[in-house]
Amino acid sequence: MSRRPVRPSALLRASTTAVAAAAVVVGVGLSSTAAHADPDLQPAPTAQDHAITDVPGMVNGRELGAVTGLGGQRVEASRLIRSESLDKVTAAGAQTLASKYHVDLVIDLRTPTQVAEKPDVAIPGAQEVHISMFGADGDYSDDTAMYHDLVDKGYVDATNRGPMVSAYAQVLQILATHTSGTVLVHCSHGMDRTGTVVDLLDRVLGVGSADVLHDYLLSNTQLGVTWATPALLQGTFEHDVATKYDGMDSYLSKTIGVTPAEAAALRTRFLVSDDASASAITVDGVTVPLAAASTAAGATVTAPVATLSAADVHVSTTNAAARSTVAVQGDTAVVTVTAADGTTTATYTVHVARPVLALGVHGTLTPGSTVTIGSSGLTPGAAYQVVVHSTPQVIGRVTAAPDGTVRGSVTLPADLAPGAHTLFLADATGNAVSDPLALTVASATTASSTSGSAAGSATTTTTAVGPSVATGGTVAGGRDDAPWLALGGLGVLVLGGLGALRFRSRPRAEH
Amino acid sequence: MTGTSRRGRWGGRLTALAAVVAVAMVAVAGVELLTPHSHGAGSSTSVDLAGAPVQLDGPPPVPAASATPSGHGRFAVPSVGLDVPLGALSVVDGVVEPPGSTSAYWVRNLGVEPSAAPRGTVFVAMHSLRGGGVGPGNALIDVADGRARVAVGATVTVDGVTYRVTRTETVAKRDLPADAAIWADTPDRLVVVTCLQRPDGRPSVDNVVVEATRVGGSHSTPS
Repeated sequence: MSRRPVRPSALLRASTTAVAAAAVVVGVGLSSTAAHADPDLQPAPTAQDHAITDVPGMVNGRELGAVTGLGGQRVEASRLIRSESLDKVTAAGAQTLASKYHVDLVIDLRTPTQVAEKPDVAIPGAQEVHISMFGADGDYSDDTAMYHDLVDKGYVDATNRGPMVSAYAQVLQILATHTSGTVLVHCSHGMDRTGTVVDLLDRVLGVGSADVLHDYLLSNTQLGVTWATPALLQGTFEHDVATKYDGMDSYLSKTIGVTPAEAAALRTRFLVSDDASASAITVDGVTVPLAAASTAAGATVTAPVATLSAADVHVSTTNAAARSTVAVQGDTAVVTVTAADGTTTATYTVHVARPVLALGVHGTLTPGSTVTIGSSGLTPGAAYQVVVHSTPQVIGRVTAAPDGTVRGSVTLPADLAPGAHTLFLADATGNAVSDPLALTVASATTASSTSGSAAGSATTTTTAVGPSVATGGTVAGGRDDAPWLALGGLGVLVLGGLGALRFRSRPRAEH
Repeated sequence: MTGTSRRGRWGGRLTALAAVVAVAMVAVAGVELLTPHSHGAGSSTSVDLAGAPVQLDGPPPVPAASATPSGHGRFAVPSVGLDVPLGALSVVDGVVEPPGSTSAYWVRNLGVEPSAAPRGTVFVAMHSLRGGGVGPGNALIDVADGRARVAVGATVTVDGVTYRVTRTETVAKRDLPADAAIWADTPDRLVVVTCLQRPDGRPSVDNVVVEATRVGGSHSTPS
């Protein structure tokens, strides 16, 4: 690095630190205070940039730019800090990096010699990983030569990749898997090696060339230099990638070996999710078909809910950081999921229907009639009351089978008034959880001429799915002898009566 | 007193007529009672567990059912003291009608055979008898309360396969053929059907259905 044998002076460091702090508010102020001001090479920070200005001893520190990446998703700036070496950071600054910025991993890209000359001040609680991109020797007399090497120093083939490609693979792997806290990546100035590492990460995240270059050149702005140039990053590094390695995608996936899973993990980690989808919605345990629920018409589920409330609706979001709200109006619940980015939303509409009660095959219903009832879509294992209206009267209890069906036999009260009634299932507190079933009950005396009926879908299917079972019988000489015993008994009684009459009348005739 | 003599004359004739009718009633009743097999249309080719001749309510069992009164081990419900031979029969024309009243009958052409219990439902039917008869099904029913006498949780063994009762219910006979849930063929399930007799002694109109799950089966009762 002969072009810049001496790092910027302490004076310059102090002034640029002040500038960086002020630049967020007054970007124009840079040109008048920086030593060799050049608006093209020292771009003003924008609102998307997050320069770190509260860590004494750190000049070229900043988070990722909160720019637009893949699919319109925003880069999650705070997940990674890039900076120069940490040798001048004060103890308080190191503490700030730990407690405010949650840095728990430092990736040092310098050569062992550079590390030994300017050892990092340790960040409390943070792990430190040394991955020397240049290998043992990191001294360059020519910047362009250095940027050629930043592509593939020592690369022979896929099995002998040299320090540079191996380092990129290792760093990207760490970034894809380290999710506990913020990662701080640095080299000596935080410009060249750190610059190409961030370039590759940005490319995986789908950040555009203009934003990549802007972030790269911010090192000039923060350091007060003009060393970083488009000719180095784009004209040399990216040009080599395009010409020698068939483009950035190929370089990343084939040369460096970033797997689709790693790329996905990097995007999950470093992009703010715009995933507003629900992974599951249930209404009192009944699963809602999401495809239908996401249409304007919505989905309809059958659930034994007395009165639908938001608490009956449970939503799981695909992305854990997404949030959901439930609005209920009548029997309709509208679920709104808002993605972690705060702007992308998805809406699911669920209409809740009550289980339908059905009557088994029956003749005319009269007070005292026994009818078979059946239903489905109830909560497995739950007990329900069978209630007849108008005056609510519990006439039976049923328990739902593991598949949510119920079957049972109930007898209409003997004192039930003839006319129209409704039958329904109720929960333990008497609230209806099934659709009411209309019944017409005939009076017992007119039953022979009036046919009872159940309205709606009251009749279960009469299609035989099994046989009838004739397992009744009697024993000969059993109860069937009763009529003959009665006849004989009556005859004996009559004979006895006649005998008594004769006995009484005889003495009277003699007087 | 002509009135007296007329009344006596008419009274004597009425008394005589009444006596003749009464004697006839006693005679007819006696004949009927002494020839117990001469009445009714049903067959009485079998006996119950007490040895009394049985008359079935349904039509005469058809030979096509190929019923056998034994040959498949035993059917036992220890909790109600039932232990009878297990025979087999087939559904013919949509009717299950065991010919005998001393056995339980596995229904061949529904579900699975007991040896294949883990693969489906084993269906067993048996007679219960009214009028003081003792069929195997009588042990399973509570006539006074109109329900099953077998409790949920009771053990049932079918040809060496042990089941535990999960549910009992009373189903109107006319509703039973359409009850898909009962006739479902489900692994490790047992369905036992008999007739529910009535306290007033009239012919049965309901079936009692006992459903059970195989002990140790994959769908075994929750522990």
